Amino acid sequence: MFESHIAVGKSLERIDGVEKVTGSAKYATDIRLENMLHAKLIRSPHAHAKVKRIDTSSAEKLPGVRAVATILEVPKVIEYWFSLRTEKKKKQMFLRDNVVRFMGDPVLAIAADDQQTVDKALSLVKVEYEPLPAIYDPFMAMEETDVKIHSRGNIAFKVNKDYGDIQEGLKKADIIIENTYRTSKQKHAALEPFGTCVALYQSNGKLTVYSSTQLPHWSRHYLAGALDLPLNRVRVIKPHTGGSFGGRCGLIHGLEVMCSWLSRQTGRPVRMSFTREEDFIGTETRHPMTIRMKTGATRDGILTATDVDIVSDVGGYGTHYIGVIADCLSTGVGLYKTPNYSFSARAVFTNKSPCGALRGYGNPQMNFAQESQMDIIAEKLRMDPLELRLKNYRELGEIDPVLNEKILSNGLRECLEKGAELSGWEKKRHQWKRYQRSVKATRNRGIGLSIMLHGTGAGKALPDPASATVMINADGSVNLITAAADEGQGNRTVLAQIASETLGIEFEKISVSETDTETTPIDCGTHGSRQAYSGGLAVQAAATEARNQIFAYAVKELGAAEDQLRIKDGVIFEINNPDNKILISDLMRKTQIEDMNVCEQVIGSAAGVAPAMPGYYGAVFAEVEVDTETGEVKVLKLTNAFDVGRAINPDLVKGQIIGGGVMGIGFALTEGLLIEDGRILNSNFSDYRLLRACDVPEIVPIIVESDEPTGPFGAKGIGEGCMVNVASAISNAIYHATGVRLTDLCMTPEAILKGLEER
Amino acid sequence: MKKMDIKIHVNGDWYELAVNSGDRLVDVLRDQLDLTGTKEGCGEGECGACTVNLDGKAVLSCLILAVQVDGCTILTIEGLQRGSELHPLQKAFTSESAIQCGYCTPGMIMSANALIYNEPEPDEDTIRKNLSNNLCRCTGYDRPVKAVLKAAKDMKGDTNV
Amino acid sequence: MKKGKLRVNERRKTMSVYFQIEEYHRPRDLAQAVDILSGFGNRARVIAGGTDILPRRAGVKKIDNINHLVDISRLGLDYLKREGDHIFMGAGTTINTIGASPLFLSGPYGALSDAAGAHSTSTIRNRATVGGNLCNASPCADLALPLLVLDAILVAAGPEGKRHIPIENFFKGVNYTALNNEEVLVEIRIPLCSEKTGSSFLKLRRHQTAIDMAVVNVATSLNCRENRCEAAGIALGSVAPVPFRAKKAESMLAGAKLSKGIIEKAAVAAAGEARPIDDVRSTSAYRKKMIAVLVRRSLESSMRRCGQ
Repeated sequence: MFESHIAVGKSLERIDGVEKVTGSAKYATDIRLENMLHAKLIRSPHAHAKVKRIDTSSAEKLPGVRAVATILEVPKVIEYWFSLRTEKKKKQMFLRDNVVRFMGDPVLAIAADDQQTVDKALSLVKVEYEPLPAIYDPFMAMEETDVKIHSRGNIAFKVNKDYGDIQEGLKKADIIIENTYRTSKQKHAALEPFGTCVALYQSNGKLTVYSSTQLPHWSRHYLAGALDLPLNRVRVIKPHTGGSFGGRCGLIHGLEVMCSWLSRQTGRPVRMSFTREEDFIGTETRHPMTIRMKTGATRDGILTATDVDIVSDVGGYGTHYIGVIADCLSTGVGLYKTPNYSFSARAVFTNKSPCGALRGYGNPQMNFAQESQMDIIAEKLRMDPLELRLKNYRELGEIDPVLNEKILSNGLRECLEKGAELSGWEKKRHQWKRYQRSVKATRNRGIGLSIMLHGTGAGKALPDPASATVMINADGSVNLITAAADEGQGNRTVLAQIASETLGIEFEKISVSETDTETTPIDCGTHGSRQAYSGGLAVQAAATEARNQIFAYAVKELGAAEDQLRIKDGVIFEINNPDNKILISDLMRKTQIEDMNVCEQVIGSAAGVAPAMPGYYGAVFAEVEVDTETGEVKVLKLTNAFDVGRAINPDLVKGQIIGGGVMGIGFALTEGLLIEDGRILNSNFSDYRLLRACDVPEIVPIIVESDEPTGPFGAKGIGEGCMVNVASAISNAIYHATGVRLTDLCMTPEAILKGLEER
Repeated sequence: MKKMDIKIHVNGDWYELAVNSGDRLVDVLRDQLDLTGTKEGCGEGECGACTVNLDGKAVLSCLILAVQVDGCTILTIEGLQRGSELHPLQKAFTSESAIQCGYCTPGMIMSANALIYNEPEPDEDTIRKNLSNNLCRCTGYDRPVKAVLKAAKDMKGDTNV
Repeated sequence: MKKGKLRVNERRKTMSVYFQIEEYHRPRDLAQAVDILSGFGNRARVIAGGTDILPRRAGVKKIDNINHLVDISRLGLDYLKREGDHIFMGAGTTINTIGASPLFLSGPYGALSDAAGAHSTSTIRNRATVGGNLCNASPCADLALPLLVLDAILVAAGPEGKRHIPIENFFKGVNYTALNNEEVLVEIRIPLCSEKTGSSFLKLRRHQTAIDMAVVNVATSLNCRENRCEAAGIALGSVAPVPFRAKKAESMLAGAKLSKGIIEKAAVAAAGEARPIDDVRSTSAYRKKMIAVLVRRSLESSMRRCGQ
């Protein structure tokens, strides 16, 4: 494994820390431009309707009202960047029609001099709707032929994939377990509400948009397409962002395009900022899924077959619905070496708020089903759930059948072993069980585990470019130019560490660029746990090229062979003659300024796609206490071990594991939008409950390093996977504590109590 | 809406302002005084991103009308720093990796600042309860709790509010 | 049950709009406050901590005609003292002051300190007042329950002077109290209890999280002499339009020898007196079951606190 010198493997302080603790970091919500207009949306009160007539005449007469834009002319962006690959597909990304497809779907926006005028103007608008029958249940939507949510029908996507022979596999099984699992409509609930943007269309035909997007470059494509502008006339600037978790994986429905449109009409900057309620009702959520899963195993606990059928509820518009299903497939099939796997799935439109990417993509849903099944099988076979995992997981060197890639690093066994040891798995598993049998207790404890696999990046499934430029200045300091969008996880810090380590120049001397499409080369954006890996590879390659250029100058200067040169702490020296040395700053000043025959800056650039999509692994051990009279669950402790290949910054990795752990507890126990007749009932933080500091148990983060050969310094991902298998581990722990198996998320006290009564 | 004149002491200076009766303190801080370090996350008093110190207590600036704090002393995240040196809480939040997206951070720090002012040696449990004022979606709270613990030790009761 | 469902739907028919504040008034004394309130009738509303009035919460309906706020937070209504045979609490006393007061740490008043601690986050509790909690008249108002079992007397000031309202007669419906438009709640009086009294408060939150609104909340008090109950109080929240006393259950305990069995029976009886609804927070069936559990646990705790 690579030996770190200066930056990699060190928990260095994040580069944006001081800005953030002093309040000077500017988020989209803090951006004010001179002469700025304020805009707001009118949203549909109907779940499904045709907009018959929009009358804005009185509103437009109001002094201070500057522009109106409606869905009749402003396109909605549907689908995601896979569609950018062909001109034909790209055209289908932009939907312009008069239909509203969920309660809260934007109908029009008004821009005015101030917020009060906007509010007044909106109250003067008359919209006439022709309500259409609405469908909220995806199973009904599949059968319904008279009501079409989109012209192509209600089934957005359908797939069947078979590996091996499912019938054969089921025949070989000694036990077959079949259950249906349902997962909730989880919301990202980032602390900075989704939906603030400032757009400025200038008279020179150039559009600048401040947006908290995770995908600045794809967002630029989307905006260029929607407004029919050349790419070089669209500039997306991503300021600091108050959390994204997948929800800003593109443009926000009804936000940036609307603002840009209004700005183009007026030539003035236009700001729109959603309230928390609008964030809840109008922006993307996790796809709720119904997963029927049939699993077969031999008496010895060898998996023989998995047959799975998924119905994924897309809501009124789809963006990531195909990718999310593909993720169910790749993580489901990839994790265990089940020889016979039959996978079918349908993504279905309903008249509910749109679904998209949320940390884990389709994996948390799939994992909940699959890891519950594994726990049931272990119980039936009277086998330790840990042993069942160890017998079946897909090991190092095996071929992942979905990606058709060899597994080059896999630390899952170590995750399981370390997690079991630190959680006291074996002892608690036995002691607590005995206790429950012997005493009629009202507080039962249980411990459960689950494992997961998640892919790093999206290289095999989607266009996944990464690029970086490294410029060495005359004083030896470095500018790292990258479009990597930091949503808070700290990837710009990690990339600076990779640049520092590769160059041999101190971390403090690396400055990372703002995230601005005008000044940075294309990057796929921050999604799929990819920045440390894909972004890191680009930075490593760019820094390597820069270093080679530095060496070329140093060879002349020091008269040593290139393979004899090393860089450490900003000094270039000959390895066998360390006194033969020069400061990088001296060399760079010389070549850039002093020597007028050269005057060249060292600039290393790299662009391309990562060579693989390596899986990273994790094991979660959850300990719970269930109040058997109220059904309340208290999570006592989580021991979460994740194989990240190589932790470039261990503190940041731990931050992901702990934070992801808490989001996972939320997914398990408290979170999910409640919808009645298309209306979201809990669209505020009082009714949509996030965990607070006093609700959170001790979470023990364990970093396992398996050294991924294709990764920068051996790194893989972490951001998404760390929340994936928390819910399944908690569910398995609840079963251990109570004997109640829950198949629906989130797991409410009421459901647990019902289970206890039926036990 | 009727305008009213108020005088408030913010981060060491007195300001005389004309505000609308319905303007909340968070609106006045952000829009009139350009102190955008105080964030708004929900507008309903649940998330704590707008926490400031009012006469030595942690309060939610989205649940107070500006007219109600006429004559009062307010400290926001921008007023915490002493000269060019970071406040011990600010230092601890960076050194203990207690920040991710940073949107909840100013509110958390101001909540902790009032705690340490009123209770100079809080234990971990007290800190955890106090930080329950603030929602955070990134960190899982573990690091912020440790940061406040460290800062309280470093400050040894030397506080400003 | 039906009623609750309807309420939820109606609340959320449109995007939320919050009431427009036209004018803010800061009276110099109580008399002026009453004058202003009388002048504006139902267009004015009292504000103290503001934590119930100001949240821009989704689902909270606009109250069109209320646009004057009368601030009573600087009228000296924040005091807490024990004099004669009462504890006197100004209506402007914050929840945190109550939670931190040594007056309520002992057995008889333990329920008050429990409820104050469970009310919300400490930033809210720094502003929220006991008067506000009562006047907002939410079915789940935490402070109402201990004050119900402690037989508190509420003092209201109006154009005709002051009048006393027993807390049992105070709550009239959801967000609706016995106060007239021009009246201000100024004081809460708690009669001193015998030392042999113990009280406690328990709250079941929706989401198994520590800070949350109640699915069910209860307060109980027991006055015992050598294991015999002389008087009992059981108050239930979130299970009817108003917080109320479960009188039948109380009468089962009064005079009885306290045992596991009788406590269980009283708890079940209390559940029988509740009329919970289905709403976004929970179901009627679950709430009913939980009352029995919480009342039993609270009675056990109150018993332990007797004579503390």
